[in-house]
Amino acid sequence: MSLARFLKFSLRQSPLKNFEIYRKLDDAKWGRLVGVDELGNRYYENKEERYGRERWCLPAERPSTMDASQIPPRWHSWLHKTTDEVPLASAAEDAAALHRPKWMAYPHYANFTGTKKANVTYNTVRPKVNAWEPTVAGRD
Amino acid sequence: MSKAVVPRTHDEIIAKPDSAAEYVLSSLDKLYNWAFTASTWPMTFGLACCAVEMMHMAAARYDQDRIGIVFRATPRQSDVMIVAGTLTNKMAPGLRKVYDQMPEPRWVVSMGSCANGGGYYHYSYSVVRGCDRVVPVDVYVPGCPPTAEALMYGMLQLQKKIKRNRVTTMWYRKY
Repeated sequence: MSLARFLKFSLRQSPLKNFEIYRKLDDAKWGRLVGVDELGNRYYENKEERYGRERWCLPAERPSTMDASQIPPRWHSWLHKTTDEVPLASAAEDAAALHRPKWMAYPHYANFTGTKKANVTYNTVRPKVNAWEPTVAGRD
Repeated sequence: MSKAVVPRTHDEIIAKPDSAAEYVLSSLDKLYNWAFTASTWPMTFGLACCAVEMMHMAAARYDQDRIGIVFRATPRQSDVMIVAGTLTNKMAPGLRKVYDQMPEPRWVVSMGSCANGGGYYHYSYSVVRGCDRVVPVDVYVPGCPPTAEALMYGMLQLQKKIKRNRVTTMWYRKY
């Protein structure tokens, strides 16, 4: 990152906000706020950025707990330029949106791995091995 | 009547210590975990095409160095082993030997279908059906091969797992 870019960055917003951005993104980024999702993640866009870096997300979680799976699927497709359509006007409107597939959870939840809600696999077929239960024949 | 003991996850013990001793020890644990998450050096065990994706994780775009991951070529100085690719019967003793040479604490990331469970070569006469038959695995990264992004996510999941460590708290609980 160049010094010019860093100076431009530091003059844009308050130092506290800049500290948050730098801590979460490891980069000096500024841009237009496009929307906020139901989890409080903020999505930004800056067309002047280098190609592939125009859209990004400022996570609501702290740096120690933030995770890529906290981004809801429709915002994910916006971030990756699958679509230009912004998912919401408000969180409630987005939940009621016609183009939201039924299977998409609302509010979105992150990966449960490592928590009590983690998925545990279980078997649904009959065991293929029959255990041997030895019985001693009587000595009559 | 005794109180019902509610089992707590590692996360909860670190987040909400019960007693003064637990408070001190979980702080120590946090420090210990922080030191480990800040530098998880993987032993590269590139066996097949997954290794190319593993190299991509190291390269400029995903840049593993920014989260403190630096490849080491020696097991004696590494914390994590990334098993990237098909583990054959011939390679299995080598893999186990390298794992045994790593210092404690050590972690294993199984990368790709072949390392997870044999994958495409599951029915081959010469392939181990998953590297978890040879070494204990902490994180499984699915894919054939997984993208560099997926492996990076796996490494971040591993860092979360390391953060759930509670070495001194467990030691205290034993007594």
